[in-house]
Amino acid sequence: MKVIVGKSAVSDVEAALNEACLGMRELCPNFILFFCDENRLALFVQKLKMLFPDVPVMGSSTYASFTPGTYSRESISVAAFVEGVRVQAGVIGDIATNPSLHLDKIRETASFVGPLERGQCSTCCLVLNPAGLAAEELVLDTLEDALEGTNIPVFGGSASSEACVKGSVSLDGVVYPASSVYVILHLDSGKFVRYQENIFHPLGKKHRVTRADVENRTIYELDGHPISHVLCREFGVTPDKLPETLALHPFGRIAGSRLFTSEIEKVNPDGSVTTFCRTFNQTDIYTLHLGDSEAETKKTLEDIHSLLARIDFSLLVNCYSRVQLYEKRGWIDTFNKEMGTSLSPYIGLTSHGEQLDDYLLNLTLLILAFGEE
Amino acid sequence: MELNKGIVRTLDTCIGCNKCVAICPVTGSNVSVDASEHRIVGVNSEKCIHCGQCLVTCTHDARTYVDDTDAFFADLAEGKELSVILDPSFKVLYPQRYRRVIGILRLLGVKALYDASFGGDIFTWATIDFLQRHKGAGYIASDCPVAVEFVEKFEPRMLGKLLPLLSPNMATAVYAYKYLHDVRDIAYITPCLSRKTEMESCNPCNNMRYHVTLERLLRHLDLNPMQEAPESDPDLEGSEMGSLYAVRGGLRENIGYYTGRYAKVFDIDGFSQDSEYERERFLQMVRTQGLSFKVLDARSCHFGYLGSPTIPEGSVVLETVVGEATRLRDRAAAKGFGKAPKQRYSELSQRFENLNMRDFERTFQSLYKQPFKLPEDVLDSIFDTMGKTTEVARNVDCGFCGYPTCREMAKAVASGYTRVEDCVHYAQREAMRLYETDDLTGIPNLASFIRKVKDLLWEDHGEQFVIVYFDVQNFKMINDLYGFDAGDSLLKKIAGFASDFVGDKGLCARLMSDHFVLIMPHDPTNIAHLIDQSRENLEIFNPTFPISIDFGFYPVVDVDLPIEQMIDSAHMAQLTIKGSYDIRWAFYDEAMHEKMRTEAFVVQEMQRALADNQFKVYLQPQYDHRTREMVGAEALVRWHHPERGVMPPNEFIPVFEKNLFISKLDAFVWESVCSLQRGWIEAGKKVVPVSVNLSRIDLYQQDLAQRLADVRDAQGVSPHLLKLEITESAYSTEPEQLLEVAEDLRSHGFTIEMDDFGSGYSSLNTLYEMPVDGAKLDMRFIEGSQTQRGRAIIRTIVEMMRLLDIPLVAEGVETANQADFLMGIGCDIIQGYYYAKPLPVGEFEKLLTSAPQ
Repeated sequence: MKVIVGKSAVSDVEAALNEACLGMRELCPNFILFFCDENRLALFVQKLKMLFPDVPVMGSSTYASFTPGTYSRESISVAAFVEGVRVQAGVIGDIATNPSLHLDKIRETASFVGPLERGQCSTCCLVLNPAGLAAEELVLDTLEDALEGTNIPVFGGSASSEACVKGSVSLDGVVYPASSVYVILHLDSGKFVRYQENIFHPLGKKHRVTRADVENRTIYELDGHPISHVLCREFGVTPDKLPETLALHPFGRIAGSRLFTSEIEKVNPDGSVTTFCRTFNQTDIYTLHLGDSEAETKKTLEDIHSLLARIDFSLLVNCYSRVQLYEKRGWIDTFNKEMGTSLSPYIGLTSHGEQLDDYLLNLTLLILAFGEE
Repeated sequence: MELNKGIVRTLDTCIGCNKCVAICPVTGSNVSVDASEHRIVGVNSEKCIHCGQCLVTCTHDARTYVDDTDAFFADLAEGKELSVILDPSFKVLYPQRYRRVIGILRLLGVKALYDASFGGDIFTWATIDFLQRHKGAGYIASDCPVAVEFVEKFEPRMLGKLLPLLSPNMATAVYAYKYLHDVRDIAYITPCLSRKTEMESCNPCNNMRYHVTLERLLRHLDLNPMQEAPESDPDLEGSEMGSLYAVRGGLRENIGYYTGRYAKVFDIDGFSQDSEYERERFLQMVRTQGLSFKVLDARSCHFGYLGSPTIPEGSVVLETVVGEATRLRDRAAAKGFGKAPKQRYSELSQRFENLNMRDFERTFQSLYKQPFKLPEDVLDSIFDTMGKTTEVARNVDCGFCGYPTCREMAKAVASGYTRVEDCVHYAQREAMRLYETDDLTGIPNLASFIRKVKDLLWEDHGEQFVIVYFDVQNFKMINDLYGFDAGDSLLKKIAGFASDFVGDKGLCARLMSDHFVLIMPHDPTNIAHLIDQSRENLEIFNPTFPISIDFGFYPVVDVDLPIEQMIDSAHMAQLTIKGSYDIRWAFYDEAMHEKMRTEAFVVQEMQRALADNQFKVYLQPQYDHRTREMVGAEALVRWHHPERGVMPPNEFIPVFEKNLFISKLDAFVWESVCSLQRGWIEAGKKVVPVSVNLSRIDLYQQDLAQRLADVRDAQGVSPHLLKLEITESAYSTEPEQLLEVAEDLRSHGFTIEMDDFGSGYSSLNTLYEMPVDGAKLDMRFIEGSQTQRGRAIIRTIVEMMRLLDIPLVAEGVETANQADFLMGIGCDIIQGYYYAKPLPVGEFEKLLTSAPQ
């Protein structure tokens, strides 16, 4: 597998593309993945399609782009898959209400891949979702149904932007503010690993969700008591301090051996808490505490290198709130430097939600690394 | 999810019986929630399709609906100009009232009245035209708003199959506005509950303002009777065929009448009502899209509007409806007699040739939201919570929760539509668990322990068991030092340890606070392991605060003994080591057993003994050794039991002090002594002061002084004749309480003596602080009077008392030497066997009247 990565922070779209895609056309890539700022997304999409008219070009807006050693807001990063992969891409519409209408189309798109063994790690579904529609989980449900029995795992992120919680995705020259785009990516050789880095850990108490409005992602009761009472007591704060407390204490849902982080969107006037991820009733959640981020980064890189002897390309999906936290605490450059020396080449999306199989996550770094064992 | 904000709402009378859940054709419309005192089922209008079946099913009058009847009459009364559309079902259901009500409405100011049968004819005309232009099959008639809402909310794939035509009432409203130029707001009188949602979602001319249910209209008119109004007809009325939309099969009859092809339409009657078959058939036909019929005419209610949930049971007679429908059909047949269906349709088309078909078309919108897929681990978690851990338990499918299967219920729990408590099996188990389990630690409570231990002991295991009672030494300090959370955490840890230790070989329970009990096989190794492992397990709990546990063991010998008694025995054994620094366990033995039996006997007999006068007052004289004259006495009590003989005080006084019976016995002694003194006075005998004992328990009686004074005064005894002895140990343990009581007693004229002086640790301080009128020197010092050192101490005490001017009585004096020594150092008043033992009253009186010794 061979992937070439380019980037540019030049303000002129044409010039930026020339810089970011330098040398790519000559190598006849068969898939282009890109991330850029929301303001210039439409222009980049249009120009990229002109540059690569016969190649699936998929991408999204991002609050900030990550490339080896650099991290910048007004920029574009491009990855050109030039060797060793086959792809089929598609669009999922009606994502906020009924993405399952597109079930058959997804199955058809994935059908170019032959039967896979469980854990074969040669084919994955990479999905990009627009943010702000609370549609990711329906899309993941649909992908799970569509890919049932194929052993194709799902990896993805939600587009983001500088302005607010929104972001658009694009495929083949079209910007989709309310549809998801995906690509079924099959490796001719080698494998990929998916890695989930949590910097928040369940040091707090475990609670049973006893009343939640799942569709509206709002939790009313924990352990049979109003959630705000339970959390104020746990953290020893007054209700007015709860929002700022929960900003650093997201919820964790345990499924099997995995921890999925759910960020708090708001504390409502009635004391209920709305999160960015759905929480089912009668499931357990933990209140999480921030751990040692540098140690986590080190462990992440060690783990990935223990799984892959050689890394050809990595895709990073790094939560927007995590990036902001790292910015505030001055960790961002160290983080990117560590990544740059270990996972190159890569590009990264700053996401308003991370997706792994049928789970939507927050405050998480997902890494999809391609290479050889 | 906002509940009870839509058309159908739950009232406070709801008891959460779940009948509405069971009858509802859609999941998520009925949501179980906690109300102030109990669980109720609220209505989620996002899911509700407004079929109203819950209104009919509810037997607790807990469901209602909102309409605009009150607003309609209020606006009419204010003079607002309004028009009315009458559903044709009105004249079918209430033929005798139809024309009269029209007359009344005209009197009330309604400007125009239209019968929606006119719109029914338009609907027929438009439907046939549509079907002729569209060759496909499987269309769904759109005149039942419940069917429309069902498709919009739950079957988005079928949206394109809904006939895109206005319902008869809405067609009438459009006709009135566009062709009759009636721009007034319109009230629609109908038995149909869900027409309100249709008015809110599809109101092309925006003139349908009031949804007036027929039942509430008639009730309003009944409650507000008017002067006789002339009967009247509507201003606009359709054909008899147009009126047939009010009854079952209206569309099929119309299509057949005008095309001759009745078979084009398939009827489903009452798909949302209590007809599982009809509902399933409807759902299946809609979902599979396998309709071979041209049109599916699915109606929510049985028998057309006759089955409407707003029609009160018994207010409409089936025969009337059938008769009216037959009359309509007959008249329509007569009008169309001799005409081919094609000719009839041609005439219908000519009637509407000036209408623009597009005015009577409509669109539909998808209100569908793809439900979340429930991960299996979530369902597993819910099943586990509900205690459904086996396949059998997960497929009980009893339906009490309102859901057809346990799995459906678990899904509803996950989505927040119902709660685990709505599962009757879970609720029963939970109630039993709460009854039998200690809330904090999760291990059994006492009641559960006793029940299970009985079962365990009755099963012949061929092995002996031991009951172990244990608690944490200084547990209160843990709560005080580290907080209640730490204390609770320790208790949980102990419970976990005990539970693990006994495993399936025994049982354990928490009784209260830090007190636990367990039963396990009686084996020395087992017991040693229990003691050792408890120490090892608790050491890691808090290394800075050593936790130690005191154990009491009771080997079960007789399995027929009450379990409570066995626990008490183990507890008794444990109490013997309380306060010990290094002994951590004790076994129950025979001495404890005998003591317990005696105690039980004393407790059992004491009330009867008092009533039967078995308690006798004895008096021990006090002599002035210098003059050999009797100067006083101390009253003591003996129990003359008819079977046991005379029982010494140390067998019953400690028991009475524990169970507070001592107060009654003391009162008996006071009354007896005062009565004796009264007798001596009346007989002209010599009268000496008598000391009586006050127990520590008496000191807590707020009216003690007054009670004693009442006893004394009732017998007319002089205050100086009754002395009160209070033991010195009471001075040290209850100083503030005692000070208050002593002052109160003295203010009532009593003399207070400090009994057992020298037995405590604070005697000197007490003498300094407490108001005492005398003291009794403890016999232990007298015993020391044989040694030089003892004599020196006694001499000092006597001298001190003299200086303090506190009279001293030496008690327990047994020899002449002792008496002479005491007299020699200034203590003249002697009580003891040297002079006399405690005597029955008769003997004492003889002694009292004899000459001085």
